[in-house]
Amino acid sequence: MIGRIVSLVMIVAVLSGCVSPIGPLPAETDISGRVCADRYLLSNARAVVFDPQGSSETVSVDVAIGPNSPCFQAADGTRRTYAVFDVSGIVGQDVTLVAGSRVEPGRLLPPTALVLDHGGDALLEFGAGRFLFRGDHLSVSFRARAGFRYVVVASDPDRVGGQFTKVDSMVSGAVIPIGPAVTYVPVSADTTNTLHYSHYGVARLRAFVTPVAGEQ
Amino acid sequence: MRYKQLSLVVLVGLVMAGCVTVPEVAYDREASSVQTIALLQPGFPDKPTAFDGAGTQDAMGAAGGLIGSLIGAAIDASTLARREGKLDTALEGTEFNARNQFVDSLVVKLEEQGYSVQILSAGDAARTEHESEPPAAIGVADAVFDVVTTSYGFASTGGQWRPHMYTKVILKSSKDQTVLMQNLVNYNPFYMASQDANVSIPPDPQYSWPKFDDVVAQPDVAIAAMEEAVSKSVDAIVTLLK
Repeated sequence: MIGRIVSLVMIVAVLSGCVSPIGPLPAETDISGRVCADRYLLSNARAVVFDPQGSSETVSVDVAIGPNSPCFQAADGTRRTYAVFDVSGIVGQDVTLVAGSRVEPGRLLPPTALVLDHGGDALLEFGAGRFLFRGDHLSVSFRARAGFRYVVVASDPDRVGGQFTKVDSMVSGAVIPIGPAVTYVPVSADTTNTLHYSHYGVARLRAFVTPVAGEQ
Repeated sequence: MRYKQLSLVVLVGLVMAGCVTVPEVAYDREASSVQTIALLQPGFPDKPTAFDGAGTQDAMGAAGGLIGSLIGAAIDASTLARREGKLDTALEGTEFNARNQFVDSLVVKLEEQGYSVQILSAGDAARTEHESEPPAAIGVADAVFDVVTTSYGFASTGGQWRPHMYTKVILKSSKDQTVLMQNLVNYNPFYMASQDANVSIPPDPQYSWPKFDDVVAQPDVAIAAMEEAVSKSVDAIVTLLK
């Protein structure tokens, strides 16, 4: 009986992200030694294919940003790492895109985002102030429009080197059989993680059909 | 035995599904061309609550009562009421008014984003649902903004009491009732970290107490914690309308 409860608690804890299977990842805060281009390289964009047949479908694509990822150097000398998503494979009249980065153990890539057209010209730009947490993703959401070809998720050099303390609360529970009856065992957790802002991390693009009015 | 195990899995899933989400509708400011907003008098609880996510009864209530009805358990509200009474007592005589702070701040920050805002009266000030038939705002504003805070105050998980605030927002076109933006903005949400459907605001780590009596023993700090929750929630709501 006790073993069953412990097992359930552990399952719930792992599922909820409260137990990390790996230790903190190193935060990369200095990319000054890297050779960076003065434009975003679009040829290796990660394709996002989304042809929804139903309103509840969604697609999510993660791209790890690390030592082999491209970097961009602006005219003022600031450098940022980035990942490019090719969204030309997204089909649909009204699709919502959510772009940003995912929390990893001990680190987070502070995101900015750009939407580019076929020629690489910027159509939309999202600075740090537009990003909000959605669970363990720091992201911005926006409607897809005709003419969108690429979404660039890049690190924010102004925030790299800083840190953020993220508290996650979780309540769940398990219903345990005891003889012919069952009892409810609540499971809750309160975890505090220090996240170091890093040029390396995981960029994510999610696409889903924009819900119709009032849909629950 | 197999039936019992299956039931257990189903019930655990139902408990975890008690985490409420709403399909996000992202706002397209350029396409919507909204300049004037009719803000319905926001729904906001009359008083803060103080529920213990680690307590069986409170947790069952937080799960929407579904489990409670499934396993036939009665929810004993007396413990919750006792804590809320202590919180009321601690806040007596202070000038803290979360509802006023929320509404005033929301109007100011929307105006800072270039919107012209007019408040329209709505039904019950403590309503917990969006208005099903909001007042017509054609000729008054380009869009109707319905904001409902369903819960605020303190909550405990994992042995720590922290402030919380849960708000649902929907912006509709005055012209044709098209939903222009819809989301939940949850300060210190109680759900799985991987859930990414709606906006979640991690609570400020400085506001944390191991026991509820510690919360009410420091009214000034407790108020600062709730003010922080209100402020961050308003900031996030306005960010969704940029």
